[in-house]
Amino acid sequence: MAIVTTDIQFLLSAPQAASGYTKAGVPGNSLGLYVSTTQVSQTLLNNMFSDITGAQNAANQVDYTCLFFFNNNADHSMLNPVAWIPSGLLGGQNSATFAIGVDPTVPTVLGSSAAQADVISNPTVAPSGVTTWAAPSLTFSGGLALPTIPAKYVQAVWIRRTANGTPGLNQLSVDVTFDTLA
Amino acid sequence: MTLTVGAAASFQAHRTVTATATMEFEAGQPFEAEVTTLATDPWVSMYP
Repeated sequence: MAIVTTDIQFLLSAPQAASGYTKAGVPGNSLGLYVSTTQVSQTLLNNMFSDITGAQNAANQVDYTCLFFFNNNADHSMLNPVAWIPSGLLGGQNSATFAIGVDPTVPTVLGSSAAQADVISNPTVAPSGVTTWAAPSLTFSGGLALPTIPAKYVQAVWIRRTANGTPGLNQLSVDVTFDTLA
Repeated sequence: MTLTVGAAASFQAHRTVTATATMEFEAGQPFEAEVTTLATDPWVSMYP
């Protein structure tokens, strides 16, 4: 069957798991290692990032969260995928800034026992394997290239958030754009 | 003798797909509340 957008799932990570897709993920604790069984909720508030406290905001805290792309199509690979943050979908009241980075771990099958992403000890620790960060961009051409993601495989990316001291409701989207043969 | 030689070429035309995940959070501001208390007992001053 051809790939449709609903074949692509966005999953939190499970840093305490022992293999992929075996443990639930927790927003605010998506620190890498293995893909969780938890999709990013459609109820947006705190579905990936916890709130920034006043003290954290005043300190311009930088924190990180791991997100997995899962190709749930049975037949087709995601070809030439690009991960990006659409600048046109940033919230109008945003006070934090964002960047996206690609985890160096190659795509793995959903239930892999080999590590599927870097792991960090707490959200303020930068993932050591991520060396390039892309700011939000108008089109996917400003994003970061990923390896081909075969059917039923996952690939991790990291989102970096930098508080800028201003209070408010923040919203962002993460996109993956790719080619498919069908 | 007539020969015909050719080279074959083929290519795949792809379709582009974009999938999106959206997320939201609040950024707070430090806030201090101050309470001022009276130094004297109001009952004493009202009822000597």
